[in-house]
Amino acid sequence: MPPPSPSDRVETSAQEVFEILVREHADMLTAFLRSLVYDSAAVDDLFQETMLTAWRRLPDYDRERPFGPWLRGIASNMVLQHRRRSRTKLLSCEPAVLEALDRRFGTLELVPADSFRARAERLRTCMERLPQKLREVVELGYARGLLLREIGIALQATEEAVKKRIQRARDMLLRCLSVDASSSGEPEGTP
Amino acid sequence: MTDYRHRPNDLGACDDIGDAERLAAQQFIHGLLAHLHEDDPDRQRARVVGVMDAIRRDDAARSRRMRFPDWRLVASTAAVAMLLVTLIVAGLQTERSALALVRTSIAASAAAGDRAYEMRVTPPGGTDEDEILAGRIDARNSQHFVIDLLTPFGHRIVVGNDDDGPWAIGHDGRTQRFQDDHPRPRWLELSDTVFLLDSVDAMLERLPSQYGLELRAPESLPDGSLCDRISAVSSGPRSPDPQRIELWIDPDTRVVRRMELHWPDDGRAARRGGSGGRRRHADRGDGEYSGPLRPRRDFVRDPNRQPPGETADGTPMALAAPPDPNGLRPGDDGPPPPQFLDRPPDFRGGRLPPPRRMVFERVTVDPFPEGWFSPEIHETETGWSPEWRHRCGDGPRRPRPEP
Repeated sequence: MPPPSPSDRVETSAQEVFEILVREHADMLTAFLRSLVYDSAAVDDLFQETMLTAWRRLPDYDRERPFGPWLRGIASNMVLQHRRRSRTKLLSCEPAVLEALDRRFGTLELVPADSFRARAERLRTCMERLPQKLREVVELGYARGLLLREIGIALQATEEAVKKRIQRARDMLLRCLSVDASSSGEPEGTP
Repeated sequence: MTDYRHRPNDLGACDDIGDAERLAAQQFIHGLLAHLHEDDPDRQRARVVGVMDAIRRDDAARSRRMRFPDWRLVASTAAVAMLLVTLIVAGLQTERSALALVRTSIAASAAAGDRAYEMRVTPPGGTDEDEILAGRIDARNSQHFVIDLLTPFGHRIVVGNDDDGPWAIGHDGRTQRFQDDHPRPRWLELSDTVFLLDSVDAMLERLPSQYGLELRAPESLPDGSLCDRISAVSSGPRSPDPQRIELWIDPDTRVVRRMELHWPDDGRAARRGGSGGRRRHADRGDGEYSGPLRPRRDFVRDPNRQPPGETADGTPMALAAPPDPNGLRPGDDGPPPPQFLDRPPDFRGGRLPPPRRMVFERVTVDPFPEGWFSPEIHETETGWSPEWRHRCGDGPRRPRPEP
């Protein structure tokens, strides 16, 4: 077997460095994709396509800007392509929503913590502060993976009522997260 | 049991919210909640592995598509060079991330509970083959730890920190408590080198302020587990602390799995003759042990001190070390016993060089019993079986404490 050429060796180191970037941004990208796509399998596919595209387009990356927003830009395009070619139901991904979503994630990245996951974990504390009725629907929906209809059956409530409760819970969680960020000395940041 | 992981969830639906900001806020929290509940570290790791596999396959396929060898060489080298430059710039983030990773590790260590690290030392001028097992660090956090070490000549030293502060048990078995006006010494002088006596957690806490940090590519430990890697190089004025520290951090728990402390080898050890490791004594010059060693000429024995291994009334102490295969006991006409240094050593102008390397490697232990970080339990707990002492090899040093 011929020895690796200098070019091969450089390419291998580039891949190793890129792997570090992938690992560092994996949680942020997954959360971003989950805010746009329901299906876990689609999230897996979009995650890989986004990272692969980022690798191919690295020479286009503006070195003056942070890596996270650039990655979310690629992910947004991937989600839009996915919407065109797939019948999978997506959450709203209108341009205005995508922009606002990107700002939300950008703000979260400013919260002082050691990782994106650590920042996201603050939500758990916020969940504990939710009123019982709201915490219940969040746990049934996210921890146990029930659909709105199934939660309604479990709680003897209409699907519409469950939906409203989840929306109220999310509003309260967002406020809690923003207050939490403010109390850490960081700007709330979101308009 | 139902696997909900691949089940499309409708919880993000908010069709009746028209405003883009509100919609985004709802989806933002939905994404975070879904991520927290569905994407555990194993799944994230699998995603990363999948991406890197895809990249390697993609690169290989693109290389094959290039028809002309010369063009391929030029184009791929140029492209890869650009990638590296870009990644180095993106590395500004990794520098921040190295600091973030160390800070995460400090926080994780504080909450990780009971841990133990084996301490291995390569003597000055020694090679990897000269590395000896020198002791163990039991730790709960940076304020609760015990460093228990046995010198190559059978002297046992224990230092620690508990709720009442730092303490040490000297080679003569006496316990000493330290206060703010007389802090616990960080350095221990042996016959041919000077050991650093710090816990892994304490060293970790020094990194952000005293070292420049670099995030390296993940690296596997000998047991195959892939760890995050940090390389730390001393950024302050020259001090006796290690010049370079290498870290292997568990990617899941963020706790240090392995820490290496490196000192520069300025050649003094070689000039002193030999590696000075176990069975060797630097003053002999030939580096080989072949009989009882004489005290160093500059060592003056304290006539009032009790013989090692005996209490004031002459009865054997619990910590009395048995003679080694060569018949040497602490206090025999061998090397001088270890001494705590009240001030940091001067490795540039001092008599003794630092070790070449100290390695701390995490080992499995059960939770430590009540009072483990106080000196009392270690005054009577020898821990070091003669067999283990002489092998200085693997195997548990002491029976696992009952939780």
